[in-house]
Amino acid sequence: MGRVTQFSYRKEDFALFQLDVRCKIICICSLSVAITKADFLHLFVISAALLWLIYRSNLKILIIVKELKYFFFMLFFIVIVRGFTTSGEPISIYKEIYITKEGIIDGAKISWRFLSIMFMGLLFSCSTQSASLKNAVMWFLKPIPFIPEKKRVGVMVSLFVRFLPLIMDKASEVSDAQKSRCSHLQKNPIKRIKNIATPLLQKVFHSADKLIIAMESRCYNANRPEVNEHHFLRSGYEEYFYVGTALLAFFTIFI
Amino acid sequence: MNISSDLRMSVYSALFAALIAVGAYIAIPIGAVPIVLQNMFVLMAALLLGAKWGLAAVGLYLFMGACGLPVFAGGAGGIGRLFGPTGGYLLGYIPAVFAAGFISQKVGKNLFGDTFAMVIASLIVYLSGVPWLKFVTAMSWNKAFIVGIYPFIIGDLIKIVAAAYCVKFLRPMLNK
Repeated sequence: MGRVTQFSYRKEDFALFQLDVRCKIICICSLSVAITKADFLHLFVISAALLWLIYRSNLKILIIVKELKYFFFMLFFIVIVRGFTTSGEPISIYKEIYITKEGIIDGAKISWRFLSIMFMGLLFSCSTQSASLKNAVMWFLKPIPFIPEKKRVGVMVSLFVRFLPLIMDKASEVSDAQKSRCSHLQKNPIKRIKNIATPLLQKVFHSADKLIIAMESRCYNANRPEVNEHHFLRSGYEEYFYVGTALLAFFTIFI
Repeated sequence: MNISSDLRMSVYSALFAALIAVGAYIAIPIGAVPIVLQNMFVLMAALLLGAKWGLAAVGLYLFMGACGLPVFAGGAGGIGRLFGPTGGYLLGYIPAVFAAGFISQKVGKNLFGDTFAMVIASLIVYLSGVPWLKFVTAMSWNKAFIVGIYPFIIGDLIKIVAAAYCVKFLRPMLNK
């Protein structure tokens, strides 16, 4: 049985979950561009807004921290590496080992930007069904002339979203199996990659083959008409989200 | 190509796009650019799916990242990331996957052809990524080489050897 994580889609009685998917995509794209210019004050305001959305979406912060522990470790690592590699006012941390104040500040800013983008991705994936995402992708691709098979792209998008947790689950299974065989004691990096990658790829390709057989047996055809094609339900909250995003982006870029 | 093989390749392309995304989570950050396993899956997509479908897999991955899903290195996402310091490497995957798929089809699907294709693809990624890194961060060429190429050469060679082995193992499964 598939493991339900904080990233998995859920149904909640909150505006974010009823929002038109196209609106969510436009807001995320605009904010992710603005975040590249964000300073601490901007990041504080954006994070407060995102944490409010996380709270209203009934997501559990402690579980999110647990599920993203490696990501937080990476953020910490970025701060440390920046501290060592950026020139500036040195601070002694142990005997002759120095880091710089400027590096720590710079690393903290970069890590906070990463964290904000991760929170946006979390809110998007927990509040969006893959079928709605597929329809939104097809709608966005419609005016682009050099993509002939928009419906196929839409199907590939929904498959992509479904494959991500499957690969994560299989990777976890393979990793546990390899640990029980003491493969973490293996020093050769090529053998370590092979020990994980080979069974993992074998498992995910078998799952993909099963999916292909299931689709073929249901006479799947990329050109078949669909009942809910391009059918978007407006919740009435879209204008609030557009205005909120525009204000946040303006504040971040120009103030 | 009949509908069945089209369907098969669409599913495999989506699978490889997801594998590239998962590969991006295994990141070792050093300075501005992290070492990631995603390029190993990019190279494998080119060799196993060919130029056209490999390109579809990479295009789908970049599109999902641009839409804001946290699929880029270390869990980042958003169109802003494509224009950040590592944007050149990400966009470099497009010509790299096409070149690797094309070379593999022309030279032959054997160890020499695969290795040659992966080396050329890796060079294309660097050719795209390092000048981009230099201009975005306004660093000198020397520093761009130090943070953008040197730390990754050994890792890339290891990834090419591991990818060659995995491709040899997986090709019969895909061609059955």
